[in-house]
Amino acid sequence: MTSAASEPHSRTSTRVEAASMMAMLAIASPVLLAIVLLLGFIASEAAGFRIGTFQEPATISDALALGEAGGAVAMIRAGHDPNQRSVVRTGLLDSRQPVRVTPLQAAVLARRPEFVALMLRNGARADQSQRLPCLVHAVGIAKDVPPGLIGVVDALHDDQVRAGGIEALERCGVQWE
Amino acid sequence: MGVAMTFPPPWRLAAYAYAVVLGCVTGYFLLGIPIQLTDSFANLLQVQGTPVSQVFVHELHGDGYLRPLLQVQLKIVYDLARGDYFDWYRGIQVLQVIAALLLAVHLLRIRTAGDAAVVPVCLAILLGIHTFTGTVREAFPINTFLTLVLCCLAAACLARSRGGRIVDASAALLLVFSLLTLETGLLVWVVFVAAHLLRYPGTSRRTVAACTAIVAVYLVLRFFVLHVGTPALTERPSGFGFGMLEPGELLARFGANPLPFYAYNVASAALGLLFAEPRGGVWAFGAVEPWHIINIVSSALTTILIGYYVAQRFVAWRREELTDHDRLVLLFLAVLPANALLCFAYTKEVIMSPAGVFYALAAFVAFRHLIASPHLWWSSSRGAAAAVLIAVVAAGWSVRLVGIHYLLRSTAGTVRTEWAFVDDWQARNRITIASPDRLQLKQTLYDDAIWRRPEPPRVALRWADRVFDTQ
Repeated sequence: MTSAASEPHSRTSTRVEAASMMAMLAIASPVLLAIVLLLGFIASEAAGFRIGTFQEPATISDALALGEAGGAVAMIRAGHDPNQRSVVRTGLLDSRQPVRVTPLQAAVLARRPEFVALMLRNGARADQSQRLPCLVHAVGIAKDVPPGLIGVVDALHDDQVRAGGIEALERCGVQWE
Repeated sequence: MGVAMTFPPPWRLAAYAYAVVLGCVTGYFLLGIPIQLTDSFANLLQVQGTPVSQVFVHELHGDGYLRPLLQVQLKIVYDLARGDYFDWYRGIQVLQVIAALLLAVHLLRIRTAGDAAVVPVCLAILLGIHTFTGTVREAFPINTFLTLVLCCLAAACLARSRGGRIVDASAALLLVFSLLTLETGLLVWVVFVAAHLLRYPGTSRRTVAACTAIVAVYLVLRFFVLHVGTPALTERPSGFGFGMLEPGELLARFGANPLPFYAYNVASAALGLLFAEPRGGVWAFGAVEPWHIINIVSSALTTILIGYYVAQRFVAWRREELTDHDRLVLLFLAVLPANALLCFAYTKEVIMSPAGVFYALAAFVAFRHLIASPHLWWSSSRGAAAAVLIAVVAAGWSVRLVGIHYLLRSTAGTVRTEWAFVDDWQARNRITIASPDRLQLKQTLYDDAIWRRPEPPRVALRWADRVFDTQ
């Protein structure tokens, strides 16, 4: 009699235990998965893989296009030429394919006037970059570039349709391949 | 006669080990961030070449703020660092994060597998909640808010101890240290008083009396001897409604009667912690991003679970039947309003970081209670609904946990870029750096940021800014 009565109770208890275990899994597994992902990310970085991250920029122009002003300055300090045309990877600077531009052109195409000033302070020369004032107008940052900095004097008459990437380079007749 | 060695239960060891692993993961991302320019460089310039005693005395005469030990800590570490500023300051921050996680686990009293299963989500809340962000994203270069979080956790640990004269003395020292580091140091006193009322063994009447006397002396010193006062209405911009109000606007709207503004700040600080809105006093309006939804859903559901626990235990509390877990929740309920009150002058999320940590501890208790409630699991449908609810909340906090690491990685790039423009920053802030010592400090920090430590790779996931909270 006692044994028969305790059987359903035991079944209920087992079910509760199983459900409780399921609850423990439900609460712990999402966070543990997140930790495994973070640890995997760290391990892959330590091993030199780039999963979900940008490849390290190889040129000053590429670094500027990525927004890495510090990296660009470090490259200049390491001996890279701040006036050299170099490759910027696809996808940056609104371009559908790699473009070869100078760091100043890259800064303009990235619409970062502060990068333009930074490059000029670090040895870049405006006269070494083709059609810089035209590019400044084409991408629509003429108002943000200090007058006279790179020969942009007509900032108020910026009535062109804004362009970016290869379209801006072609509009200004800049050689980019 | 042998001495019996007692080892902590294995699940407790596992919880501590997990806390260390999580701390190291966060530490890895923290070590990618150079010493900050805007938050830290000016502070370091201030303490450079000044004796510790002078730094302390100078900071006693602040306007609206009394934080002499903040600068003293910077100064002591600056002198110890001897040029290795990055290693020392960032290393201390990493150790502080690990210590905060370990102290939190210590307070949880892990005994069973069920307890241990809730630890990951508890620590995910602790690190992933938006009030904690400021303790790791900023530095000054020792993050005082993180220091205060540690002080509050240490106070709770002292309260949980067996007590005695050493604990009394430690409590008094901890309180003095906290009060002279940051205004929110008052929360340490709140923890001790609440712990005494909750009959924690470590806080005797003597402890509370001594701590209350220290607070009284502090207030007299602050208001009547040093005349430091409190931050003025025009101190800084503050969030209100759907936007920020500049000091001039604040003065125009609340200059005659600031009480409604103060009440708004207190209420929005508390609501912001419990429901992830408003943020810094500003309610989200217009475009709502996925991270908004993740934050609000995970915070609101967690708060509801804590509320459910309070409702379940309320009758027992009225009979003064308190368990260890009850005490953690009640400690949170004591710290929350006190912390929100300290936000009266302006709303800044990081000020609520101590309450955020106790919120994580209270959430642990609420989740643990839910898992251990047999009546929930008797019915398959109710059990399945509870499991889904738990999984949704845990998933939300997991995203926020990953999000804080994403934010740290983005911050690494931002800080490096700031250093590239150090000369512009100097000119804007009219900071002259002429002496050899100052030039040396600037060059060292600049080299660390730009040259010596290459920037960690930037995350290239287009959806990341929409899913992770980067505010």
